[in-house]
Amino acid sequence: MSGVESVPYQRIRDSPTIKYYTDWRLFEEKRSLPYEEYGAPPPWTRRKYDAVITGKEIMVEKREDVLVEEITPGRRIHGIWIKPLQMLPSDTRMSLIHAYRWRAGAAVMIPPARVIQEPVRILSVGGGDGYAGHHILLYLGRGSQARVEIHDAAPEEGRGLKTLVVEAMLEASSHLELITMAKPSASSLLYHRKIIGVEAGGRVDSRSIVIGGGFTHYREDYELRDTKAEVSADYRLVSSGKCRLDAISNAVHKGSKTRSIIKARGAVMDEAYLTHRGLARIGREAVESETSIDSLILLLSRKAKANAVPMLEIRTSRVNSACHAASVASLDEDHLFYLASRGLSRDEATRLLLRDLLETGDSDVNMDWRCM
Amino acid sequence: MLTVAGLHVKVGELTILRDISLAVRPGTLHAVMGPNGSGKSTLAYTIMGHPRYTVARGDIRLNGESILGLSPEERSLKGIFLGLQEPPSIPGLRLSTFLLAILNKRRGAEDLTEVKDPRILRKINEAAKIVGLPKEYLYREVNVGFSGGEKKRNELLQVLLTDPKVVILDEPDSGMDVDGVRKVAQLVAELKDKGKAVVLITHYARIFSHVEPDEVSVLYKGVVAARGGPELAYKIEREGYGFLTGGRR
Ligand SMILES: Nc1ncnc2c1ncn2[C@@H]1O[C@H](COP(=O)(O)OP(=O)(O)OP(=O)(O)O)[C@@H](O)[C@H]1O
Ligand SMILES: [Mg+2]
Repeated sequence: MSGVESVPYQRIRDSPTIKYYTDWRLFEEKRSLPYEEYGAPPPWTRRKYDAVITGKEIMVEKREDVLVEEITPGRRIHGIWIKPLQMLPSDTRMSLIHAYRWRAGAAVMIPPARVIQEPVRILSVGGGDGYAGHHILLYLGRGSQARVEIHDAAPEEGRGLKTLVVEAMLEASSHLELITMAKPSASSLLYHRKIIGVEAGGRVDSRSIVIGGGFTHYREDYELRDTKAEVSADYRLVSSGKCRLDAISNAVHKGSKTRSIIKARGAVMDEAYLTHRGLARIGREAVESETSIDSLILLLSRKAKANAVPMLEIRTSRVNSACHAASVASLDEDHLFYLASRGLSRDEATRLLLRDLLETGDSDVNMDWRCM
Repeated sequence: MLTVAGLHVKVGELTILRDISLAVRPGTLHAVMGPNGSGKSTLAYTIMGHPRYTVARGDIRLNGESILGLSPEERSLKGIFLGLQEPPSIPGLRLSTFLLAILNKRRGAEDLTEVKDPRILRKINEAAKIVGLPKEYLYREVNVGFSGGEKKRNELLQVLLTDPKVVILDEPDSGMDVDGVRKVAQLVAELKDKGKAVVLITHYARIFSHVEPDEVSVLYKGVVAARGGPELAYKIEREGYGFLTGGRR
């Protein structure tokens, strides 16, 4: 892995502030762990999956309507329509480490104009006792529509490191509904990154539920490449015990009339740590674009720590609307008294809050997270 | 019946209430008035069991039994309701979830968010209509972005839903528009009729033109400085609190 040492874990421009919200030393310690052969899926992963990636292995179920295939590094399949790693920038040390080390992956291709009814479900398990690197490619042909669910899991007592990178390419007028549920174990490390490019008139509706992790770096980069490309990204983030979670949403507007809506709701308990950073960058050509970032984190204990950091970077003078709101609120003595005076205990109140926070308006997802 | 007997209340080392006694029978309205900072809200909080206020002496009894050893939750489940002067906002928690949980808790349900009986939802909707809180508000976060008057209406909504025995309302009429004040008065009259013991903390006698108090206590610097019937409220409205100190306020 020559060259890795000269690349930093984080570039200043990646983050709204110079501060490091991810503790990269932890990743440094585990980056050379030996490969893990197999990771046992935790109980919450109980769907029928089209692809299961665990340790260095992948199993794929054939489907009629969608092409789901195994991919491995160095072997390009369907090179005409997509090249693995074509989008992942080798800009940070973790993405480079991933590029060098990932071993198992899946590609999902939705042919042009096709509308997929049954969701494509992918399970990725890793971070048990060693290193697991998984790669997922999604390609949506022009005018196609699909729902893809990614379950990013770790074996229950895991102490290892996992990197999962998802690269998605949406051709013009395609629509991707992307659901991600990520729950690393309380002592494992997770580097989860998505790089999603959207062409003219394409749209991504992404929902992520991310729970805990010894340290979880959960980053999504959206590039709205052409006119009227849209993303709506909704995050439900929970960190408890001693878990630490740093979630980042970047929306880069390149085309005109593009739109990004970023919403995050988080709760942090016990001695846990949680950050959500939302960054929208509207380039010079992205005239008449719209963006909104709304992030709210609830502190449910005195020792919990949280940051909600929004940032807008606007390089054009013609923006339709750009707004951001971010806050960290705490449930203090007065809140608890109020709830208690209506007959609810602290525990009950916390559980209610979490339930509302994670409620997604999608009954399948609600069923899944209740098991998480 | 709610009885407060010889109550001394402290916050830390600071004594805020001294020797407060009052009794509120079922089906009666007891008004508590007094200038800003006289201790009205402190009294209300103490009856509900707010951990910030310690009872140094005296007792609070519900139907003859002391409730001092009970937590706020237990007091609530025993049938005491306190509508706050400034209800807090709870971002992240939807009002409908909250109301459902309050009702389910009282039914002893295990899952506080279950909807076993669809009538429960109808009941919530109807109560919202009575207090004049638009239905959409049920799907917003508790008190987040609610106006002063809307927060008060939300407190009244919870009185209707929980059907308590003792209802303490801390300035339900401040921040309310004219129709709102009339609505509060009407609800208080109904609570009286239904045999509830009602304590109404207020600065304004205007509400008493709709519903007469059976007794009025005036707090001043942490003690009960005057007690009487409705005429006491009107006197305060006309003359202010000067008479309590012989004009040396
Ligand atoms: N937590 C506290 N710490 C210190 N002082 C307090 C505390 N709570 C109340 N006090 C003091 O006790 C006194 C009574 O306050 P309280 O809020 O009960 O008055 P009030 O009669 O309800 O006034 P208002 O009409 O303005 O609502 C005030 O002097 C107040 O500053
Ligand atoms: Mg007060």
